[in-house]
Amino acid sequence: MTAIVVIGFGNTLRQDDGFGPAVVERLGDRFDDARVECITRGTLTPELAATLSEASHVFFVDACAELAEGVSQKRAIGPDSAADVSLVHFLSPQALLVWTERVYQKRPKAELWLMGVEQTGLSEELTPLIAGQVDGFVHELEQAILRDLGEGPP
Amino acid sequence: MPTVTIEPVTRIEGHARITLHLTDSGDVDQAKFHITQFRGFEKFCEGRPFPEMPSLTARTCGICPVSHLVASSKACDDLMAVQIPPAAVRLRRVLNLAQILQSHALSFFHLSSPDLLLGWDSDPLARNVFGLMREHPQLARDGIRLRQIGQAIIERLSGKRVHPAWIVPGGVQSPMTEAVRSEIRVWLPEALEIAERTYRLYRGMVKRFQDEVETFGDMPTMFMGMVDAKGNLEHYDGLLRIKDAEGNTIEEGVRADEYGDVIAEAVEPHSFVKSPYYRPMGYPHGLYRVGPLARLNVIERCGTPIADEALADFRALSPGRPVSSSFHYHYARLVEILYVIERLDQMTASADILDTKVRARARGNKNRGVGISEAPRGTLIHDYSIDDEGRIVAVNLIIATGHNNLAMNRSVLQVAKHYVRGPEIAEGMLNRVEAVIRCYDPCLSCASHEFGRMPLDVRMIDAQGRELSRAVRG
Repeated sequence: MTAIVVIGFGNTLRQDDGFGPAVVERLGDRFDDARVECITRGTLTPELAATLSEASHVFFVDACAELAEGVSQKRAIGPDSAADVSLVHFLSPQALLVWTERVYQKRPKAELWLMGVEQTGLSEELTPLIAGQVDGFVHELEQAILRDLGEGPP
Repeated sequence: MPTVTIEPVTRIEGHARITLHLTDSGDVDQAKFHITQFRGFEKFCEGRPFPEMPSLTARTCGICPVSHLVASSKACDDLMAVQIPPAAVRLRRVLNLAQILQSHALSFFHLSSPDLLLGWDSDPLARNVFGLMREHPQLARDGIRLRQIGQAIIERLSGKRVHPAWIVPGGVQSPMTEAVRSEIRVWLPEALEIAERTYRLYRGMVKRFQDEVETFGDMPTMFMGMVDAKGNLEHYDGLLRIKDAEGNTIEEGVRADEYGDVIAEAVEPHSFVKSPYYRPMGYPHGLYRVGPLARLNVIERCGTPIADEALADFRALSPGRPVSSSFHYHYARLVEILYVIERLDQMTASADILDTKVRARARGNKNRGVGISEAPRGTLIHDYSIDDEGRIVAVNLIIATGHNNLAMNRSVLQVAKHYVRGPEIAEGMLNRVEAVIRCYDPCLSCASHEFGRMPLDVRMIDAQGRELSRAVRG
């Protein structure tokens, strides 16, 4: 069983919106453990509910226009019945957790890790400021995952 | 005749507008289905080197990028005047079949089954996938799993499930590995089990929908689809066949570069989607349909055992003639899902699929290239012209939703005439207009792929052109 799922999502053609996939791609390159599944997506779709139903802990990594550029935020989230669960091509993390709970009766522990961004023009490159945040996020994710697996410092 | 001003103010993808025109006595006279989004690919691709076209045109759609990759690469193969390696053909077929699997699963399970299983007049708040979960939990899980399997095959082969760049002019980027083949073959028995279970469920309940069968685009039209050398079901590389409403073959063996002999395109001021028609019959009489319903109506057989059994059931819906109701697109989609899984099993069983010669390389050797494939929603045509330097000078794309545009308009009119009485727009009518459009699974990009609340703007116009009432959703 996959213990931990890390999902980085965002549009990699829109500059810093691709922060989540960039982080999780790098994490996947550095983290070789069958208990950890690293996934990158443009958007969150319902099929991911099946993956989440087999996880004990899920990390969502995303860019956030509401936060100041370069400022990060990490918080626990859960299924939110007020979230828009109707769109089948784009779900919020909270809505995806609703799908997971209702279809599979599973409720993995979930965290949303956000990076504040401003530049979302047409480019496959992150801006230098946001690109400079990637390694730090990857390191923090590694530590959190190791703690979860009982292999890191508490 | 009253006039309606079309103002595509919003460019948000997937928004549709429907206008109903009434006679003085209040009966529905005309109905129009407006697709108000504009993409412009045919223009902004001009000037680009032709090898870029698969990647560029795949961005037409986030739902069926593989279909555009296939048709576009075939057009580029034609420009290069090369015969691509047999293994590349097989791998492209596998990817195209996986695309059809995930797309059909989305259409049936996620989008249409809440209507089909819970009813059009049921509480709108419960007529969604969660209502479905309560009433049919196994079906809800099956839908997610089947789509997941289709997406996973695409991802394993091409590295990405959306906008893969694996299919290229001349073939594919890399061969299939034994590990990927083994993984795919592990998934297929489960996929077939789901598909058969769903097919049996639907076959048992289809008789309940007699009213919808008779009013959801039940009309005599021509049908077009690709067939193989034996006249059987073919999604990647065959010749076009067109049958009339009686089932007589009126066009046979139409090659890709000959499509213009049988298809012409009209433009209506109310929609950004073109209206292709059968050229010999003129516009708008040359109405035809494409997609799963049309494909099953034009073929001799599917060519796989389980799907052929299902095809016999399907044909029993209308013995001796084509199945004419667009409502039966749902049925046809389920038959195709069976076929796709069986074909994937056949193709991946052979060691040929692992052959490592997968790409031919050449410059442009012709000035025009045409690629045709069968996408989930129907026949997809990419037609490119290039200059001697290989730069694109002209592009024509005819997508499945365009082929079906005239039929969708006619279907909306039929539903409206049956259900609309007077100026009031009832919820049940709105649901059915939405549902008849869904039969075609049109790709108005993503918005049509919502369940329960497709964005709709329905206006009732009287004979003087005054707006009597309006209902907006989404």
